[in-house]
Amino acid sequence: MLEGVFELHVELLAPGGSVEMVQKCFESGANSVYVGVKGWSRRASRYELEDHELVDAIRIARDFNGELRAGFNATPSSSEVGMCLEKIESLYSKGVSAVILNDIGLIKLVRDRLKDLKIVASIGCNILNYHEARLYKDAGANMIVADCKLSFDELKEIKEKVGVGIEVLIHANTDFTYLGKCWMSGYLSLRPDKIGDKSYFVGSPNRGGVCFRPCLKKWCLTDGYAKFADGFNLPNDMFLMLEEIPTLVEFVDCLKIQGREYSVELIGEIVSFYRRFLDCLKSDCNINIEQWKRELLRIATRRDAERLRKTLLLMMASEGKVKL
Amino acid sequence: MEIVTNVPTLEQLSKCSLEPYDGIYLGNPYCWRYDGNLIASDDIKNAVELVKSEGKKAYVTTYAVPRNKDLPLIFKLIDAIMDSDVDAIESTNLGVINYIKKEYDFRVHAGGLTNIYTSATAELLVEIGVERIMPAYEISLEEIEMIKRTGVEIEVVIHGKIPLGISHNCFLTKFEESLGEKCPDICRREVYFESDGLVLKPFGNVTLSGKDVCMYEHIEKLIEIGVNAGRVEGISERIGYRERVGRIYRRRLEVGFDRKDLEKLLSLNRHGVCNGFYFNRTGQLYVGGGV
Repeated sequence: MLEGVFELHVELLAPGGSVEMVQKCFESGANSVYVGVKGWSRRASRYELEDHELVDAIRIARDFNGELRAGFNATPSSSEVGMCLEKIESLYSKGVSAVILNDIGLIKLVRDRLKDLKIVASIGCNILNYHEARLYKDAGANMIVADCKLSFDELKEIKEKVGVGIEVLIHANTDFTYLGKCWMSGYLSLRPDKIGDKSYFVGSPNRGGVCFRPCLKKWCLTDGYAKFADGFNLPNDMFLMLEEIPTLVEFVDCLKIQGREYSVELIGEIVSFYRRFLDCLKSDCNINIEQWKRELLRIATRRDAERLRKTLLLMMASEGKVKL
Repeated sequence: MEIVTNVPTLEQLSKCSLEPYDGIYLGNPYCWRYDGNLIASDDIKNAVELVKSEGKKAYVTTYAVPRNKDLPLIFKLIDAIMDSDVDAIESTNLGVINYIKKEYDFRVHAGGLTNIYTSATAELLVEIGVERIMPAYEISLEEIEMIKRTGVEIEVVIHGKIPLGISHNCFLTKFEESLGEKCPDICRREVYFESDGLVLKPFGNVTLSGKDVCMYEHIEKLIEIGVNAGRVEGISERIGYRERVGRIYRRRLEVGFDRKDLEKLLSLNRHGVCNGFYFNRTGQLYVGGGV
C-alpha cells in the first residue's frame, strides 16, 4: 500500500490527435493537451490539426482553463525556418501559449521573437545529459522532454544542475534506438511530399513523416552463409507507468501521455485513469496499487490491439500497398 | 577538399596506410567497450603523435551519445591530450561541444549524429565557436548548401556505411550464444541484420547501413557546394578497406573520373552501394551519375 501524501503540482499532458480528442482529454482531467500543427509535427498528417481546428482547440483549452501546446517538432528544412517562425507567431497571436520544438537553432530564434511563449524541447532533441539540457535552456527552452531511456537519478541530476522543467512520458514506446537518432525508416523507404508549401517526408520521423517501423519486421542475423538467429524484432516496446509515478512527481514537472493516433475513447480512458490516480496521490487516501495495476492492464490490452493494427498498416504503406 | 577517415585503435592505425588521407579521426565513438578503443585508452597520445609524424591532421573523436556518467570520461580524454598536437576534437553531443568550446582552446568538429538539420542550428553552433559541421545524414545536398552559407566548414561522408540509428546498449550482445563469441570480440564479426532485402550492419551501440554510401560520381557537385572534407567511413571495416577506398578518391580528386575505379568501389561491399539521403530519395537507393 502506498500512502498518498503529495503536494502535487505536476501537469498531466494528453494528446490531441483531433479536436474531438482535445475535448475528450480536457473532460477526462488533463491539465493541458498537445496537438500537431498540420505538416509540422512528428506524426502522420491525419493526426495533425488544420488552422481552423487549432482555433477550436484553443477555445476548448480556454473553457477548461487549460493549456494548448502546439507541436512544431518536425525538423524543418533551412529554407522553411522563416515559414515556421511566421506560423508560430500567427498561432501565438491566436492564443497558443506553448510550442514544442525540435531544432535548437529554431528554439533560439523563436525565443528572440517571443519572450513569454513557453517553449518545450521535444523528445526528438534526444537530450542526454546536463550540459546538453543547459544549452537548450540557454537557447530558450522552458522545459525539456526526457528521453525514455534516462534513469530517475539522471533526471534528478539534470533537474538539480540545470533547473529546467522536465517532462516525462508515462505512456509511450521505447525504441530500438534513441528517439530522434534513427533513420532506418527513411533508408527503407522515403517519399518526399508537400502539404501546402511545407515539404514533408513520408518515412522520416524526424522530418515529420511517418515512421514505417522497420524495427518490427522479422529480422535474421547472418554473415551471408549461416543464419545465427531468425524471426526476431528489433526491440520497440510500449510502456505504461504506474508504480514509478509517486517517485516521479517529486521532481518532474509534467507527465505526458503519448498517443495522438489512438482512438478517442481509449485515450479518454487513459487520461481519466491517470487523473484519478494523481488525485488519489494528492489526497490522503490509501492506494491499493494491485487494483490500479489490474485496471491498467485492461487498458494496455486494448491499446496493444489498436497498435498492432496500426503497425501492419504502416508496413503495407512502406511497400506502397496502402496510402496513409 | 580534405579526404579524411576514422581509425578506432592504435593497432589498426599502425597496420594501415594513411597515405591517401589528409586527416584521421582517432577512436570509435560508438562504444566504450570496443577492444583497444582510443577514446578509452592511454594510447591516444601515441596515436596523435603517429598521425602527426606522417604529416596528417589528427582529430580525436569522443563518445557519441554521452549520458551524465560519461561526461567525466570524455573530459578525462580531452585533458589527456591537452598538451598534444591534436588538430580538433569531434563530438556529436551539443552539451559536450558547448563545454569544450567554453573550457578548452580546441577546434571542434560537430559530427553527423549531432542532428544538425538547419542553418539556424548551424548559426547557433558558429556563435558557440564550432569550426566544422557534418550535417545530419538525412538532409539533401541543397540543404547542406544552405548550411554552408553560414560560413562554417562542411564535412560529409563520401564513402562507407552511415549510421542509421544509435542506442544506449548493444543489441548484438543478445546473440552472443548463437554467435559463439562475446563482447568485445563479437563486433569484429561481419554479421548483418537482414529482412526482405533490407540490410543493416550492427556495430556496438550503432546500427550502420548495410550498403556503402558512394559519392564517387558526384564529387564535382560536392566541390561546387564548397564541401571542405569528404569522409571515408571505415570504422567497422577491415584494415585494407580504408587504403583501397582512400586511394580511389585521391585519384578522383587529383586525376579525375575513372570507370575502373568506380567499378572497384561498387564491388567492395557485397550488399552494394547507395547514395544515402543526398538526393532526397530513399536512403538505400543508388542514383548513379544521372542526377
